[in-house]
Amino acid sequence: MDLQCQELGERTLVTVDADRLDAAVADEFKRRVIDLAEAGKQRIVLDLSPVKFIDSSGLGAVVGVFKFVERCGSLELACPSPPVQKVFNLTRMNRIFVIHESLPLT
Amino acid sequence: MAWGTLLTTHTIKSRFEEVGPMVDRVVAACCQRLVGYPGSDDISDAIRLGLTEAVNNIIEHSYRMEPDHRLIIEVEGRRAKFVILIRDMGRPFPEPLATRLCAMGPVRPPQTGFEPDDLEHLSEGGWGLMLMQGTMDQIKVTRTGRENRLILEKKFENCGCDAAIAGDP
Repeated sequence: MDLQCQELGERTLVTVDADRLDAAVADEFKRRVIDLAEAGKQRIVLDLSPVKFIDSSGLGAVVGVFKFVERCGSLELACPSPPVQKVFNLTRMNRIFVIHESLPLT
Repeated sequence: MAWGTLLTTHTIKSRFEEVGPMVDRVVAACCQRLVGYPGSDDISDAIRLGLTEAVNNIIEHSYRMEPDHRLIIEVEGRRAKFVILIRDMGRPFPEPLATRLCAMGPVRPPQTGFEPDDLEHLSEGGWGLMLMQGTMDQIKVTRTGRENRLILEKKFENCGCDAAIAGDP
């Protein structure tokens, strides 16, 4: 799993460069995004377009990052693939997150 | 299992990194039986998620993250449905939860009334069983001797496909 960062004005677009966000990588993902926040990236947009599968562990990691970042900044999501969007819908997390359907952000 | 056509069987260790590749192979075997059927993407997405959650749950709770235990996964194609049997030799599934899961009774989301300023009460876990129920048509949990058996069923007709596969029992 890799994270690609791009500055978009005050926001940082973080592209999750991985096919899966699952139990095998969830802890690493959470730690690395929190590292970015601690390094000063306080308004983060997670680009999920490369992620074709997310399980409950991956979702939990996204929620954990959200809880950490929202204390002093913001975390939004962008471009979830249809299988990933389904998981957010099933768990009702689509009501919690700001989810952008496309990039660039407006 | 003995009533349908055995599509694929796999044995993995109780390690999360072995789950994804195994699930990919199971989904590929199922997709071979679904070529041309409407809704096949929905079926394969559901099998991918439900099977992943089931196996992760066994690794986490039955084997308590101990890495070198064995799970055996068998997939059968039957008339208009797939049946997935997962066997392990770990601790039994907790009875109250097994009963609710098998009855397809309500497994609620970990939070239902979250307020945006109430971050502390936003749960980071607890969706696995709900996702299994949300993706599978039937779930059975049994224990024979020291072996746990978790059976997942996914029908075709729920995804707009009424026809059975020709030649299936």
